[in-house]
Amino acid sequence: MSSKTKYIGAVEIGTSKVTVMIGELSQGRSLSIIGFGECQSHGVLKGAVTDFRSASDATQSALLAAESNAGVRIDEVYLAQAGGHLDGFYNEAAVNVSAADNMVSAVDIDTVMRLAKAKALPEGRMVVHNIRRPFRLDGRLVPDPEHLVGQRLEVGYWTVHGQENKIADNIHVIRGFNVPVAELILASLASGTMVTSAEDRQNGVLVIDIGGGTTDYALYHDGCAYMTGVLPVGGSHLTNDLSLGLRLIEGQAEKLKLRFGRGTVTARDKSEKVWLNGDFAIGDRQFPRQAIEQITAARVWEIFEVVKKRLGVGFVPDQTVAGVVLTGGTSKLPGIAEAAAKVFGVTARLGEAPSYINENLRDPGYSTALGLLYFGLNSSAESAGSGSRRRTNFLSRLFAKA
Amino acid sequence: MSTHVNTIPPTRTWRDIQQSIAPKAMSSEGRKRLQVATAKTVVVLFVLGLVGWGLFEGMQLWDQNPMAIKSPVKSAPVKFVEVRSDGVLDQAWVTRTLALPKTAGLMELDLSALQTRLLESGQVRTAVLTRKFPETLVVMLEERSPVLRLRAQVGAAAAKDWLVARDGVIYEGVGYEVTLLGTLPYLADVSLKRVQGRFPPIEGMDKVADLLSTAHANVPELYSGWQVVSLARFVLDGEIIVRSKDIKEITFGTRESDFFKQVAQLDLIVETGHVQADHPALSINLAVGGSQVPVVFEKPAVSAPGVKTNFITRPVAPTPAVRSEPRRPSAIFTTLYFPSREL
Repeated sequence: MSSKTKYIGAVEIGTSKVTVMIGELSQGRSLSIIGFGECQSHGVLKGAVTDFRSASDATQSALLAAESNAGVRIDEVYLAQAGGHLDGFYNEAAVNVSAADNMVSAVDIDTVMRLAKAKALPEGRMVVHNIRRPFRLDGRLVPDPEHLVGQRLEVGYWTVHGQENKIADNIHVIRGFNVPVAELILASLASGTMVTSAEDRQNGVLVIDIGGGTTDYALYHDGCAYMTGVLPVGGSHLTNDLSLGLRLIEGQAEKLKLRFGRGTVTARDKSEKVWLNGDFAIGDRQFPRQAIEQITAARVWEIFEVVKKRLGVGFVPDQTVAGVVLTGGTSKLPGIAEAAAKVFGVTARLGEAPSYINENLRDPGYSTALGLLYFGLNSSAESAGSGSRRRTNFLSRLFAKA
Repeated sequence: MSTHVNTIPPTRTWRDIQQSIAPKAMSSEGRKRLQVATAKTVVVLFVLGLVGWGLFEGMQLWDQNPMAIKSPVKSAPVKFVEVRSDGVLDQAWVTRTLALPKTAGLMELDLSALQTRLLESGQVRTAVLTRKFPETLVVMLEERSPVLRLRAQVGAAAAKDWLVARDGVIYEGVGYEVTLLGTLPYLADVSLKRVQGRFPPIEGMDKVADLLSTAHANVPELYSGWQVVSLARFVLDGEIIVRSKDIKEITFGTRESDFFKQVAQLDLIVETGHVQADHPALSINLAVGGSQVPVVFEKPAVSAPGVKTNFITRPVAPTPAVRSEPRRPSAIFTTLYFPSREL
């Protein structure tokens, strides 16, 4: 490995599968996806590790598969964080501009940012992300208030926090492989960045990532994430509903969900039946298609309703011009976008990875891992940029002194 | 406000989670990776240690005995000098010129200074000196070849012959056969001025060398009679004047640089009997160019002694070879006559 090439791993430990992608970072400015590994998940329930050994084995199998596929060793990991234990709140602070000429200084900005982040958390909780919203100077939105003139500077943070032990479990699964975790990134932010454009995020968009055990959502306004959240409900609940409603074992229910499940009910004929396996073998049975669709659509509808309720007044259809973007494995369910559009009252579509991504990796189930790599690339570029700035400043100071 | 901000307890983030993990808690693959990483670290530390130790030892040696650093290779005194030359210089001359001290070690030799010593002679064009361990110095020489002789007097010493090479370098020749040197014409009418004890190279010698080699190769009988090559009109008119036994002044032009044609014309004039013992040519001017060659003949001696000799000049039209029936076969004739009958 040359000193300017780094191999970063994007790891998503989901309820149904563990996905690992390896990116080759060259010069900190370009990234190529060179390895991929996937493994059925074990020991993970609703996004949280419940059986460390099983989760560790599954994750490390996926890591080894990806390393073997890429032919390199991972230097560091960007880990997706999901789970029902995650929560968020908004806190804002304001300061009066200290300078006599009312010009905002770096000290003012630092003070208001520290105040806005200074919110005590309950025992056993820790911060995953502090997502800053745009500054407001005398009520107007400004991306960077330094050197602008005003009297009152305000800023708000959406703070995502989770249970310390569950976050630690997630990290320790990776550390068991003796690879450091460079960044912990909320799964909804990772997938949201990947399936929406900067313009969407500026105009307002709601990204809903429906995974196997959880549904992650992120609401974007003005180019930044305003609200995020996780519901401990996902595609596995659709399977479970079918299993209970039609009296099937989990595997059979999963098959029916994948073949006949829908986000909206389209079957009008109650007598229309579908075969469980379709191979006419002993044990093959028929089920009413409408019942299957009703069961899956009801759960999908409920998920969207809960998301809408959680967002509360934060979700304003008029401010969500880009509509709802669905991603995650369950978003492949036919008719799910129509259901989302009806619930939220805005346009809805399935998220697509950018066209430069390999066709095989453009499945909605991989958007989180792709987003993690995107974060890795950005953070490397930022650190490279700040490093060069530091060097430049140091050199300019040195020569100025000389 | 600032006091309040400073008293805010820092919020715990996921980065506060200890990422260090005991090897026992790692998976087998994790432990394997840890072992590889540890081995790498040990190797790097070992290499760094070695480098550090080497630097330390070097510094100490530098402080205590710098000579030991300068001659790290234990070399024996030079016993053999191996000479490879493309000319006439031999080992005795090289040994004499180098004048190596008997106890000089091979590594102590200043090859650059020795090379300068060899090149000072002028006869050596290039000299490459290499050490062949443990005790042999290899000297590879490329020598200059003499084109002309030059008689010059340096200071109060008696005049002596020098040699002139194709590149104009003047040098005392060493090791040449006397008979060979006797065949070389003398160079005349050049101004010599010693600079830092040496004659500077004579300009235009490459042209002279071309003329002489053309003549030597194609008309050796004529060439053998050439005694003096004069550069009196070389700078102004671009002419080389040759004085031979039979013809007092043969003028060659260098403007066109076609010495082959000029030599052929000369040979033709001589062969066709225009120049004979009973009416010898005083001068032949081959620098005019074209098919006309002015020849100045000496008028046959008049009966009355003391009467001034008169000269007659007439252009000589070349005669075809078929009519002249040359006394000896000449490659020049066949080449010049058949394609064109101008000569």
